[in-house]
Amino acid sequence: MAELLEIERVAKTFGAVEPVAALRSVDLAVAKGEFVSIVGPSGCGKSTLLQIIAGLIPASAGEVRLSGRVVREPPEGVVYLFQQYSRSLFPWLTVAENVRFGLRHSAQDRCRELLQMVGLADFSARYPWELSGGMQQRVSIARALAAEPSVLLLDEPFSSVDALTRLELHGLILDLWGKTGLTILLVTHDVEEAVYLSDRIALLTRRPAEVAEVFANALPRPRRPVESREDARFLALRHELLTRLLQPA
Amino acid sequence: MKARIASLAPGLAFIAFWIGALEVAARNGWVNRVFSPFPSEIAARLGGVLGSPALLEALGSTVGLLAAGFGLACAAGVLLGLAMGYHRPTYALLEPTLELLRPIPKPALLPPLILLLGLGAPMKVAIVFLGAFFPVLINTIEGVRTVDPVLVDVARTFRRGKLATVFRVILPASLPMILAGMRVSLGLGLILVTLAEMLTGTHGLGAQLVDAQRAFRVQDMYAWTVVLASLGLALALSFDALERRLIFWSSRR
Amino acid sequence: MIAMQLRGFGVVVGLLLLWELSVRSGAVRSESWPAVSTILQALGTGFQAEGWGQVFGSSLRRMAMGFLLAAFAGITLGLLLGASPRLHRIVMPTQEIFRVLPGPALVPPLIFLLGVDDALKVSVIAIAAFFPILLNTIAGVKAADPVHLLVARTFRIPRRRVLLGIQLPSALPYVFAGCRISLGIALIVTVVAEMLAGSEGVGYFIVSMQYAMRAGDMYAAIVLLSAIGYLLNRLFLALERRALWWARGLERQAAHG
Repeated sequence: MAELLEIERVAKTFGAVEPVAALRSVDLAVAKGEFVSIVGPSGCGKSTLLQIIAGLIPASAGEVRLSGRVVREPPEGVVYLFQQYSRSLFPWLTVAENVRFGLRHSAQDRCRELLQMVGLADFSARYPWELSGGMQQRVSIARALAAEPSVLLLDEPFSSVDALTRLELHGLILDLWGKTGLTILLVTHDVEEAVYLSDRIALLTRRPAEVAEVFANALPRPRRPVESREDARFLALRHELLTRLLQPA
Repeated sequence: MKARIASLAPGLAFIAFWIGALEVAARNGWVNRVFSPFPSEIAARLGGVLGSPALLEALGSTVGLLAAGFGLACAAGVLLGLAMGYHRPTYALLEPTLELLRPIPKPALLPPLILLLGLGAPMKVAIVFLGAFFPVLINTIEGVRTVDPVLVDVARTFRRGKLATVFRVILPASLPMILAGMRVSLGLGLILVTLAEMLTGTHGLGAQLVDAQRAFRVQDMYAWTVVLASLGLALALSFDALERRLIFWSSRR
Repeated sequence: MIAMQLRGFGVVVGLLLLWELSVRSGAVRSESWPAVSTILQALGTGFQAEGWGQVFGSSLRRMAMGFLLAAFAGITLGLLLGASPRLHRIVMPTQEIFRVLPGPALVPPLIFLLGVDDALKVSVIAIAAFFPILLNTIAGVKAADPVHLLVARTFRIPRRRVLLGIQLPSALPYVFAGCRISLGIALIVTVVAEMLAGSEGVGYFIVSMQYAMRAGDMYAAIVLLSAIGYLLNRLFLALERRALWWARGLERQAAHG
C-alpha cells in the first residue's frame, strides 16, 4: 500500500532556556484513505504532534512527508480541524461565509451543498455564536471540506460537546469519510471513540512521547453506534488499550 | 425603545430641574444676571444662531477639519498599527521614535505648528491628526497582538497568504480594540480642533465662542457652548451606532 | 532582537541628525525651524535665563491642585453612583452632556464666572480630569465580586461598611487606572488653560515664545514638558504597582484557577 503520510523520527522540544521534551521520536505511516487514531495519556504531546503534521509548528528533529514531499508549512490538501471550534470560527462572518472561507473560489452552489452535507442548510445566514456547540463543530467540518483536502487532521474535535451530540458527529464523520475517500488522522484521549472510528490506533507513551504500539482494528465496517460497541472485537481492543493507558509509569 | 425612554426619564427630569433652577436663580437676581447662564435668554440666542448662516459656516468648518484630521489619523494609525503589530522588526524599528513623540502634550504643539504652517486649515488638520493618531496606533498594535492565535492558525491551515490573513482575519478580529482607540481619538480631535479655532479665532465653533466672549455677548457665548456640546453628543452617538453595526458580534462570542 | 532595537534607536538618532543638518547646511532657513543643538542649548540655559523653575513650578502646582480636586470629587461621587444605580440613572444624562463638551470650550464661560486667575485654571483642570476618575470608579464598584457581596449580606454587614470595605478595595485598580489617565489629561489641560488665559506657566510661556518668534526656547519648553509628562506617568505607574500588589495576586490566582 502506498503511504500518503510518513512521520519519521519526529521530535519536539519546547523552550531554549529550560528545554522541555514533548516528543522523543515518533514514527508512523498512514496510507491513502485510511482512518488512523492517535491515543495517549493526557499531556503526552498528541496535539503537538498533529500540529507538526499540519505544518503549523516546526519539528525539532525528524520530518513529516506528504506524498513524499517534506512538510515545512501548511501543505496543500491538508486541513487541520481545531479542538477549540468555537474559537476557530470567525464570529463576524455568517455560517455560509465561514464555509466560503475554505473555498478556493466563492462558489455558491458548493457552499450550499456542503452545508447540506453537514445538515445545516437552514442555518447559512446565522452567525456561529447563535448555534450550539455541536452545530458549530459541523460548520467547521463543512469549512474544512470546502478546501477539498485529501487529509483531514482532527484534534480532539468531539471533546467539548455532550455525549449524544458526540455520537451524531461520529456518524457524520464516518459518513463523510466513506463518501469522499479522505485520509483521516484523529487525536483523541477517548479510547472508545478511537476504536469505534478508526482502522488503526497508534498508542503513545507518556511524555516525551513515542509510539508504544500500533494496533490494527478488526472491528468490521460499517460501524453502528450501538451494535458495534457491543462487538467482542470492540471490547477486546478497548480493554487492551485502556489497560495499557492505565499502567503506572 | 419604550424601555429606553423610561430609563432615561429620571435623568432628563434632572436636567430639566437644574435648567429650571438656573432660570429661577437668574430671574430673581440670586446670581449675576449678566455673566451667569440664563436659560430662556440662551434659548432665544440659540434660536437666532440656528437660523443664521454663521452656524452652517462654523459647523461646516469645524466638522470638515475634524473629519480630515481624524480620517487621516485613522487610516495612518490602522495601517501602521497592523504593520507594527504583525511584523516584529517594523515594531522594533519604529517604537523608539514613536515612544519619544507620544508623551508630548499635543496642545503644546499648536504654537510650533502655527509658526510652521500658519493659521489656516493645514495647521488645524495637522494638530487633529497628531492628537488622534496615537490612540488609534496604540490600540491597533494591542488589538493585533491579542488576536486569538487559533484564528491566525485557521488562516494558515487554509493556506491564506499574508495579505489575506492580515486584512480578512487580523483586521476584523482586532476591530473592537481599534474602534475603542478611534473613540478616544474622536474626542481628542474635537478638543484640539476647538482649541485651535479658539487660539486663531478665525473660523469655526471655537472662534465663535471666543468672539462672543471677547465682545461680552455672554448669552451668545453660552448658546455656542450648547452648539458645541450638541456636536460632541452627536459625534458620540453616531460613533456608538457605527460600533454597533461593525462589531455586533464582539460581545456575543 | 537587540540588533533590531539598536536599529530603532538608530532611527531616532538619524532623524535628529537629519534635523540638525537641515539647518546647518542651510537647506531650511526659517525662524521657526531651529537646529536641535539650538534647542538643547536653550534647554540648558532655560532655568537661568527664563526662570523655568518658576514657570514650570507654577504650572505643576495648578495641575496638582486641579488633579487632587478631581480625584477627591471623582472617587467620592463614583463610589456613590456606583453603589446606587437609581442615583446613577438620574445623573447619567447630565454627566454625558458635560463629558462630551470639549474641555477648552469651558474656558470662556468660566472666565466670566471665575476671572482669569488660578481659580479658573484649577477649575478647568479639575473638571477635565474629573470624568475618567468618575467613570472608572463607577465601573470598578460595579465590578465587585458578587460572591463577596453575598457573603457580606449573609453576615448582615451594614451598607456603608460594604461600600468602604468591599466595593472600594475591589474598585481600586479601576480608580488607579482612571487617575493615571486623568493625570495625563490634567497636564494637557493645564497647558491649554494657560494658553487661553493667563500670564504665567508653561502654556503661556510657549505661546509667548511663539509670538516672540523664539522657536528655540519654545521647543525646549515643549521637550521639558514632555519629559515631565513621561516621568509623571512612570511615577504613577510605580505607585500603582506598589499600592495594588494584592490585586496582582488575585489575578495570578484567577489565571491558575
